[in-house]
Amino acid sequence: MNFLPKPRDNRPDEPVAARRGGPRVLMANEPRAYREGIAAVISQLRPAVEVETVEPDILDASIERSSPDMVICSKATETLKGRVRVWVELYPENGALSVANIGGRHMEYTEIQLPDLLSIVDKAGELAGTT
Amino acid sequence: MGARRILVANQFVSYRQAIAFALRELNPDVEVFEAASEAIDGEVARLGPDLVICSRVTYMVRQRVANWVELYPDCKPYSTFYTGGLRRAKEDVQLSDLLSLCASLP
Repeated sequence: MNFLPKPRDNRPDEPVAARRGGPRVLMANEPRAYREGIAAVISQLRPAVEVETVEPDILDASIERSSPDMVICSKATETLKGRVRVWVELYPENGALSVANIGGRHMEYTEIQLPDLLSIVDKAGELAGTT
Repeated sequence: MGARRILVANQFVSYRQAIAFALRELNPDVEVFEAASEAIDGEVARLGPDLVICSRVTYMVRQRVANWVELYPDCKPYSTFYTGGLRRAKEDVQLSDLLSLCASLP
């Protein structure tokens, strides 16, 4: 069956040189179907963006490996905060509040929506100089 | 037979929107509706959906909807699928599981 463009998942050996020109978005939020759903939306509506999905427990290693321009996760780590300019902590502790860092600017969303996430993806692209 | 109707009523908005978007993209012949989880019973009564995907299944959903998925209740990693009169638990549901279900609704 031909599903939506499949987000990449757990492919640590892919060479960095294989990247396209758009911003790189790493997704490590859980549960899985939601991670994949948001990745599919971003891939479909922002085709220039390179989206990768990983399990949350390899978030730090994935950041080290791929130096993403943006991360969406359920729990922000120190590695994430120190190395990624744009990130979204999506529904931490399963609460409605989400937190974003956009190039050093702290944002809080009481009920974040898909257009908010797409807007942050666009900001990440601008900050990365890819758009 | 009219278009199949799917009601997506998961707890968090962006998750609900993402699942609904994916279902619409893959299944253009189905009607996909979104509702806040608090509004699920009213929307079930109004729409008469063939499938409900929600975070917490209600008594009304159990009574009135032929197929439903309780997806990650309390954000736990297990889910329950009820389709064709059969109930089954499933761990670590993937987006493809939901897409497959929608494409093969009994």
